[in-house]
Amino acid sequence: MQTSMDKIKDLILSIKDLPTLPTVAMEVMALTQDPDSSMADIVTVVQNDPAITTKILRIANSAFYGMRQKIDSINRALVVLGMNEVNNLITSISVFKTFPITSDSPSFDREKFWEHCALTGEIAKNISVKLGMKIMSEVFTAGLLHDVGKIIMDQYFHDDFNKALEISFSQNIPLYEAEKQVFGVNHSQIGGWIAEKWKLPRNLTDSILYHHKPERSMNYKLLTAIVDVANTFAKIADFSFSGERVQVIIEETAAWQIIKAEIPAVSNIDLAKFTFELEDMALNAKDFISIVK
Amino acid sequence: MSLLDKLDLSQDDFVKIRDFIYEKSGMFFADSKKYLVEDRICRRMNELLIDKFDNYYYFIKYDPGKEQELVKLFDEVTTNETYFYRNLPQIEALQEVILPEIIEQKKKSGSKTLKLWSAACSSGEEPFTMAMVLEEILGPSIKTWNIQILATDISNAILEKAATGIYNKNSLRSLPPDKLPKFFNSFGDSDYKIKDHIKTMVDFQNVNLVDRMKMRMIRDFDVIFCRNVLIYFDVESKKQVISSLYNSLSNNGYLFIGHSESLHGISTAFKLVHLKNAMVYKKEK
Repeated sequence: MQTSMDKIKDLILSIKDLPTLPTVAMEVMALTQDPDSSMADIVTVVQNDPAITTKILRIANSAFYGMRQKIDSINRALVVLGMNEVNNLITSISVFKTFPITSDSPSFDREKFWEHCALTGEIAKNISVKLGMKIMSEVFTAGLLHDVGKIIMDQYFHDDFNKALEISFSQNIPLYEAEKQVFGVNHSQIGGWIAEKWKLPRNLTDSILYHHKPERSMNYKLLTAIVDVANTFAKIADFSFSGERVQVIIEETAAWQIIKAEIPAVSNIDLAKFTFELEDMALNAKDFISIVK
Repeated sequence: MSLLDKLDLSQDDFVKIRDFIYEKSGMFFADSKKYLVEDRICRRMNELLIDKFDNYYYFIKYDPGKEQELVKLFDEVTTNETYFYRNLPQIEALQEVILPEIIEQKKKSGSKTLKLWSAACSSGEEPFTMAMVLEEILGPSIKTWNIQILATDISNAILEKAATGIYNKNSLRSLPPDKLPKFFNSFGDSDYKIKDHIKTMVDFQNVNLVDRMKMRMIRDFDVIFCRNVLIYFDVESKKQVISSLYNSLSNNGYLFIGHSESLHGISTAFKLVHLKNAMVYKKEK
């Protein structure tokens, strides 16, 4: 017998025009996972899409990376930034192509939505840098994509999603709880299904699926916990939609405890200073959005 | 030597000096405040007849007279003025989150006393803002509460001015428009006077925050504001003042410091609570 959860999943995955990632993103993703592929293969695929090529080069030369040398070709980008970084950039840019910022929903401002997502990515990146981790690009992409389920809700279940937003505001509860009341599932679950359908790598799927419950991720707890904390910081910086009142002791959150268990040095982060730096991160996030949109 | 018109710091130099100021004062300047820092350092360099930033940085770091220079630089970078509803996100945090939580706890425990302290009240805008916020939250039921708002400063002159409750337009520039008729009467040609029911809620006293004896007498406060003052103390005095303030708070009480200030390296006794666009330090045993 089908559970109600399965029914919702079938309903969502059976949407006829459910967006797919652009071919270039799928192909590059496959190439980076294929040990027999070469850099030249990736260059060929990317260059076939001039729009994405231009955007990659603009981001590569922006304050986002703060490179001193000019990156003037995809070849150069692959050498300087690395294959993974370029792959993640393509995934990020592709999502904007799939879900354009222009939308006429009065209650759900997509530009603000993506600014929240990009800020979460930027904060996650900054946390990982402070922790001395060398996984900058996947951390940013994980942050950027964490709320992708909300876009599906807004696009295909617009009225119900509005209802959830209203409940979140009127009852002062987290949006994911309001969604559960209305849909039976929340945006992280829906985002997880989309990520699977798009064949995103497991680390990204986990950080989308579990960004409110990082302890449930089997293999990517740390990444997922960093996205969770970054999401909290983005809400503190007032980049959020739900009506939930923010009041949090970061050091006592489950996500922070997970990070601390893996990297005890996280306790050395000056959280007050980090909070002051959010203003600068928000500028970078807005820059990123203005380039990719 | 000619004076500098303006200083144009590289991002690296800006980060270097802002981190130095943060380390010394606990006060942080985001990138968006770069122009301000450049402008004020430029003034200091012209005064000292220093024409290269590197030389100024060396001076403030290593010169025997660096302590005096630090105070002068801090005076320049802090616009040391006070006004009603200063830093709205903090006031909103007080009104929408912190006080409702405290009031709820008091109701549960059967207590009807609320104690708020403006520890460096200057000309009184901060403690009167506290009084306005309380009146808005409690409404007519405020009469059933025993409310104590203590306002302290080290300058008798400024305390006398504060006690008059008379302000000019400049002090009102961040006041939400609906509050003006509610809490003020016109006074003279262009000034305003706080209405009596707000004025009588505040008790002004002269207290030096490093005076341990006097600080020990101030007990059981639910909320303390001590904004933009700590920068003027050296590290040891900061630790002492913060420790005194901690002792003056009741358990589950809250301390607000300046919106760009931090207690990092000063105290680990508090829990750092994040709210929307604001941070507050909680005493929780």
